[in-house]
Amino acid sequence: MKTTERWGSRVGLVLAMAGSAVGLGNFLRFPAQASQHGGGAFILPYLVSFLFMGIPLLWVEWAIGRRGGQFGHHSAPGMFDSMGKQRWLKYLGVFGIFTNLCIAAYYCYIESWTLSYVWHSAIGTFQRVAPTEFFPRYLGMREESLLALPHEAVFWFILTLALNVWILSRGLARGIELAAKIGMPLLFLFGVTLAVRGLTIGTDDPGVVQSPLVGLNFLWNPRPEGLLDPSTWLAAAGQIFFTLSVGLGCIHCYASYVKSKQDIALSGATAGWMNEWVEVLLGGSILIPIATAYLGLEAVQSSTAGGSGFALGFLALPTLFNNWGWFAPIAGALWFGLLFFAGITSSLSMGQPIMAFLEDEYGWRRKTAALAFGAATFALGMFCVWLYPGGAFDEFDFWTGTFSLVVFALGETIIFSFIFGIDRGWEEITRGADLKVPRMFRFVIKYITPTFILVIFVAALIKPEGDWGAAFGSFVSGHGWPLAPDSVIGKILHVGVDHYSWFDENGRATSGFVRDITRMLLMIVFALSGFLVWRAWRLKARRAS
Amino acid sequence: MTVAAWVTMLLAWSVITFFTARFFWLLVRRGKSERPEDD
Repeated sequence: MKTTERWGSRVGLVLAMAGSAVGLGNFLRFPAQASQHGGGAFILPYLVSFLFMGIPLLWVEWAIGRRGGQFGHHSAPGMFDSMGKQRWLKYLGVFGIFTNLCIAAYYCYIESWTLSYVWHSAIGTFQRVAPTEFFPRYLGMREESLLALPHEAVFWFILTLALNVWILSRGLARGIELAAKIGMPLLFLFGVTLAVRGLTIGTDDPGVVQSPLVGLNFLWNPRPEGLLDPSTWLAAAGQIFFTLSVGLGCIHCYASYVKSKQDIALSGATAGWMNEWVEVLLGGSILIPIATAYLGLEAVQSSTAGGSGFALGFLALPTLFNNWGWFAPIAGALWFGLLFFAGITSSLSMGQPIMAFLEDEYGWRRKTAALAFGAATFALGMFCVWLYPGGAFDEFDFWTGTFSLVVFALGETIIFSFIFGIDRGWEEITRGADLKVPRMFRFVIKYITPTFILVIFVAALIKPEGDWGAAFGSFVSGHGWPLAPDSVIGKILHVGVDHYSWFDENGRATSGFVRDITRMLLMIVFALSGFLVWRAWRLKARRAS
Repeated sequence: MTVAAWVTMLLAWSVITFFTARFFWLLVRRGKSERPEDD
């Protein structure tokens, strides 16, 4: 079944693209990363990475997508297959199915937390129960067994999934585009309200220990020595990479519904800059200033030390809002509502490529494809819900939300520049452009962007424990490379795990067991996705003969 | 907040706001003048 769907308007398309990029990381990850890596000095490598890796990668993905759409392909396998004669090209596109499905599974789970938190904020739960008490119970972490099922979390997860499936089943213009047109302005409104309220907290207000400007200073005071530290550059490049929704296959999919001569250069740049605006201006002005005002800078520094603002966002902020009197339930609903809109506009963009694959390559109807996406996401997501305390969630996040994205992006930049050819690629990017793309980006796309991604990939493989300088020192002096437990090789080799076994002395499953079966499950899903691609092409070949 | 922090923050905000607004405005203007069918 060949789809003839189109976007309703260009602004709608750009809002949907920006909505895909704007996610929870804009509000929870960016401020923590910036404050931990050079403060204000972080912004320079951050913007350099945006210009030389982010924007070029966006243009490459938009170009691959729009071209794929002209051949009737709206998902990555078909798009890559049409870019060269090599039969293996379509199998790189398997990442565009596998990654979206697996990320959607755990991402929708986090999205369901935000929806549940909107409800609990509005009814005043956090005025009675501390989130530090509420959250572990909600996730089922207080149960005796790792295998206990948290009922309330399951309820909100099903509700969130049902909402996603309903919107997806309504189609591109009436579903995804409409959701972005409603969600993005509301996100902006909620964000501005919270930022203004947070930054105007007075030092004499009840419960305040420091000015919120101390938090803003922590985030923006430049520490120039950070510019000489490779960790700062890696963190900045990593943040740009993960904030733009590149390496997923969803930008390709959205762009495939654009007409062949319609601009992609200006649309891609606008969506990218909108994401930066939300991340830097709104993301940097809510979490850290408010938390600093009520907890003090030291507590904020220690809770963001790992480079994530999750603990502050879900455990601290709901309590801190209680200092705002009658406005507390509204503030909580605004904060988690903002996170929910950021989440759902992203999860919708993960569902569309999977549905498009089923529609284009297997001739499924949209509603059937939406239900199939919902069922697959539910099955995989329940695995995360069920085994969250054992570490299944972290495994999903690492292998699909981090590792696979980089592999896919590296592969697509090489295919675009060296197999499809940079001459044809440049023609694709600039055809119908409403923006004069500087010619230097031809060189950047061919050499600089793949180099940036390659560096991120190698850094993820061998990330050291501690800083890079000390690791090189240790290596040169013959003491070996101190692999970090969260490096790719460290994960595979179970670095940092003292007694690795699947069962404890009482015969109960350990975290090691949960992590290993999660990896097996992910490998099975990848193999199944590859099989579906292989079968689709085999059926096509049969029909052709 | 230190002067350096203010300067860095306002500079970053200005650059990002400028490009976001410029491109979005261009997009809205071009969108209006675009013909309904350009294929």
